[in-house]
Amino acid sequence: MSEKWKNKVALLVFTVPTLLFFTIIVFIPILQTFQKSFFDWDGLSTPIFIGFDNYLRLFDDPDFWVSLKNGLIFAFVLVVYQIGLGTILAIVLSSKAVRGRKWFKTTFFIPVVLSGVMVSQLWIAIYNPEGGLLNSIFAALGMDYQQAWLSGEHTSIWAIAFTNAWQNMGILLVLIYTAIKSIPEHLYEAALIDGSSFWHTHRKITIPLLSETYKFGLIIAITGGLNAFQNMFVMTNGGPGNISYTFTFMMYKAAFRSNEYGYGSAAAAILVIECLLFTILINKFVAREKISY
Amino acid sequence: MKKRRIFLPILLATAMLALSACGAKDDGTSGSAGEASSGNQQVKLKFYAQYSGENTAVYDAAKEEMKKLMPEVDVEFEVAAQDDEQKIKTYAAGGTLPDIFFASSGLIEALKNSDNLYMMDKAVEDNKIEDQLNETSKAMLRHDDGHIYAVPNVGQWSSLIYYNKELFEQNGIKVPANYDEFLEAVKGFSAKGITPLALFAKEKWPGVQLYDMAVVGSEPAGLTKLDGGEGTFSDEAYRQGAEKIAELSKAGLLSKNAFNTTWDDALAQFTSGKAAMVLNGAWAMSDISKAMGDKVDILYTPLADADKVDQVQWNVSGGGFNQGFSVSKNSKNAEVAAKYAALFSIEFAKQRVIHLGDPNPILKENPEPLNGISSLQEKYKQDSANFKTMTTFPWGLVNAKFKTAIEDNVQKLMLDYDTNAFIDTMNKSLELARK
Repeated sequence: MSEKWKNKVALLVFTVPTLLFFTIIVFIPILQTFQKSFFDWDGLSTPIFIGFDNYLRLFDDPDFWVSLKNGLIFAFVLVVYQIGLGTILAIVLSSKAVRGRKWFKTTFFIPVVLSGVMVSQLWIAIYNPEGGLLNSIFAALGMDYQQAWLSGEHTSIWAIAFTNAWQNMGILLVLIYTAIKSIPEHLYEAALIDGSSFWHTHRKITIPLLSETYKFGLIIAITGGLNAFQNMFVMTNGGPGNISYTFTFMMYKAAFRSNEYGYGSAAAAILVIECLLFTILINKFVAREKISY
Repeated sequence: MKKRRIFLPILLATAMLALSACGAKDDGTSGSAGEASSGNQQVKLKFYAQYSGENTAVYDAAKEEMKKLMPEVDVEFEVAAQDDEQKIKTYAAGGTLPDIFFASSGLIEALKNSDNLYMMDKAVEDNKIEDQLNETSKAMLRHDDGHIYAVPNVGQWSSLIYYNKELFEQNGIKVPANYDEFLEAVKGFSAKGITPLALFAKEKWPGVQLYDMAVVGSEPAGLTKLDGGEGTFSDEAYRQGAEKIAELSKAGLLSKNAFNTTWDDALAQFTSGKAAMVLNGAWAMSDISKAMGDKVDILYTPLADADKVDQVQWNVSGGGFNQGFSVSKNSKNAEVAAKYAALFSIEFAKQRVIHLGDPNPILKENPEPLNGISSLQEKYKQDSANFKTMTTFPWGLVNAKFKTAIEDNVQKLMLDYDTNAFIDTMNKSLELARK
């Protein structure tokens, strides 16, 4: 067998199983979701083709706009907290002047390995308006700022999103930290010789060179926010009413509680389109040039 | 090199086999682990039910009794998930429904429409099930189309507001007999820092039930009328009900944490004296009586208007409906399963009385409870004979779209007190649900 053919066989052997697996587990179900979104279907009976009716209904459904808004808020909180705070912490932890760096890194990563249900329960207790930690802190500070964090129309989704952001910040922190560590030392040495300050150095060298990491981080934070489900399922069950709905929750309600699989599929299809759109935009505008050292 | 050439195709083939096996189609045995039902051959049936908590002993005892009636049948219980019926619907979609399962009204409707339910008319007739049921329970046996798809296993439960007699006395608050007095009680307790009503609103149905209780004083059919395709939320009874819920919520009816309160939390608040009242069905009476003794009493229609209360005091919220043990049409042993399910329903009802002291079973006969019944259960037993009309619990609503809409919107009403928005949104949802 020639070298050319050997390479092709190796290529196939390594890629085909994964592609096959991805196609069966992800791609075909997505296609099926799009297909089912054009039907009036309860998940059990024979589907009836209704064209774009499910999509037209979506835009007239108050749950849709609440879900869209909440998904964007969720994504915003994840981006700001996980990437923003993750960057600051990674920069601080990458400095040799900081003592106990290893301990801090491990500590920040611990919530990531905890179960989402457990973390949600922990934050339910913290947010409890009657004797919860957060309200108690405000009371101890002499502030009359007592909130029903998970039941308030303007606080609920922020509180839930923060829980998720807090839990998974460690992932972005580790990614950014690793990326910082891969930046060649001589760049910093040159900046030091030129008299650049600590923050100026990081603003001009570290952050621009992290753009590829940010691209990946933005994609997982934004799609993670738009896809959020577990935290609201455990913490508020989407409520009170629909105030903490996201598209995934709307999809769950339609498919499993209202027996409207077709309508739920339309919500899922919009979610897929939304995630794809953000991914395309991020790929187009973030880290357009490949960085090589 | 030769080894590698063999290894790679084997690896690929294994991967393909593993993946294709994931999609293997079930041959339609629907979970039956046993052999065919002919003659006296042993049959093993899968039984998907709420085999947990206080019901475990009831199921076990009923199963033991069934061994005497149908010794050739052995059942294996699968604990039903509290998951909005996702699991059982997934079983149905995959053609692997258990032989016997508990089905609510909504599930019966969905499974009947998709031709997954075995018609139990013959099993009920052959085994004289109807003769053993009392009059109120006979109405729960048949679906709207006149056929039997599930045999009821529990009686008509009323929705109740349990109240702490001592707490009312200690705080000098009158036990409410009508809406105005109820509102006064809410204001009174709220002012004293006591939660007036412990509502476990982390689940969505208690809010709906409270709204139904606010409606039955003016419209005895409550939400079942709307579910059945009649009326709208603009009708006086439903508008007034919404106004009452909004007013009570505004007056401090619920705790700040009500929407994150589970039944266990609500019960703890009630039994510890932190809440004056708690809402639940009559099935919770056994637990509450055990915890509170004679300190607790019940209210049926405390949200009715003062001028109507005498006429509507026995128009209660809650009720029984067409639900119970159903059989999969695709079961290999459907006939045996139908007979077993029908007889099991009767045994289950008996054992609920014996073990839990159910005050209003579905049966004509009156089995003796092992531990007697509490004074509260005795009171309820006598009162239930006076019930004139009943409505439903949310899982008894047939229209799933209507059910989910009312569940979400009552919670919103309790939160923003906006009656007009509630009526507008619910009227739109109703229109959509009736299409």
